[in-house]
Amino acid sequence: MARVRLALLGTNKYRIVLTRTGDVDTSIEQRTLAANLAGAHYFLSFHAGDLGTAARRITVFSFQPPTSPVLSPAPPPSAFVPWAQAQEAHLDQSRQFALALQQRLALLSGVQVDLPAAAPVRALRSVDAAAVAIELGRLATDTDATALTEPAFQQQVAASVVQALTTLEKGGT
Amino acid sequence: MSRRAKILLLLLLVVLAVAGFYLRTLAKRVFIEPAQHAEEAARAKLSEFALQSKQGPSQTATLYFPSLDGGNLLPENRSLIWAEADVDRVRQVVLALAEGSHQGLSHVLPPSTTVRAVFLSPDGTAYVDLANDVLNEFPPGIQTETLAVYSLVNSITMNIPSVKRVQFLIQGQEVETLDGHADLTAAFAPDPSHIKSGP
Repeated sequence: MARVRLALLGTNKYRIVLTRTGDVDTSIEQRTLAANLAGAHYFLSFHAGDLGTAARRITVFSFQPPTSPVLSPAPPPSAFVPWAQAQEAHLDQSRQFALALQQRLALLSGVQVDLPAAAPVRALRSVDAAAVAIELGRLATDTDATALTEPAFQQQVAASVVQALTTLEKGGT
Repeated sequence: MSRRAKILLLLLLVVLAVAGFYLRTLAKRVFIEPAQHAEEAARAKLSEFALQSKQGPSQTATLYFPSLDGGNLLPENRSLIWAEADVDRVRQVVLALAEGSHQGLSHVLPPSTTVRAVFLSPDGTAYVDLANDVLNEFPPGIQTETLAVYSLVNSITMNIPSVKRVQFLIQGQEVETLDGHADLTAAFAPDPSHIKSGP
């Protein structure tokens, strides 16, 4: 995350708000609150996960509500957005963001990058901005995570994030 | 009171306090914990009974197990003798998933999973209450949690038509996430997009 921050600061185009600094326990709501209060345009959440047998693998997730919006009764018009449904107004933007990231990350050599996926990621549910979660694997408990912590690899991921954001800002994917 | 008597009194109080604490711990072990274990054991027996129902003809159920390498769910047919009531059928599906794949696919739930209770509301929402041992040895990550949730939801709803949605509870409580990632605060509708289509 620090490398992504540095790469973004290097463009002189973005203001970055870290929702967590250091190894401190910050709740999902606290992180969401920090992003929403800052008026974020984009929200990135990085995760290490068990993505199977590939040494380096990345999946980019956008939010998918657990219950299809079709099944939910339409809420009455209101100036207020329910906190738990804040992300639902940005689903298309988030999907575009995920696609732009996936396309950039897919250019990295030696990394398996899956097609963008939608998942009920709790960390994205209340974010009032285009939001994605990037999961890097593999990180099973019995697996060495060295492949994910190499500075060169992290730098490549950071550069891809900057390129994806630049592309989105120009109106493309 | 002499100094010696005071010291003796103090020592006596300390001994009484330690004895009291020990007796309280002992009583808890003897009377309270076995009751909890008995409750869990009774639930486990109920679960086994539901899974091993011997009445009625055997039918094929389709269970969906995760393929972590593919990042999707794969179907696996399983022969089950369905229970009469839909809530028991839900329990059967969950326990069949906990038993694990017979074709080498990934685990959804640990084999020790206990289904505490299943409720079915008139609007077709099944409330599946799992014991917190479901989180034992759960592999970390967004993908693993998402596939686990939709493995359960798709397997339940596609085999039991009266169930339209599934809401998960852990130890009788609504929880924020399964293990830090998947949002469990709402009921899940089935989503076939997580199932691998074609060969």
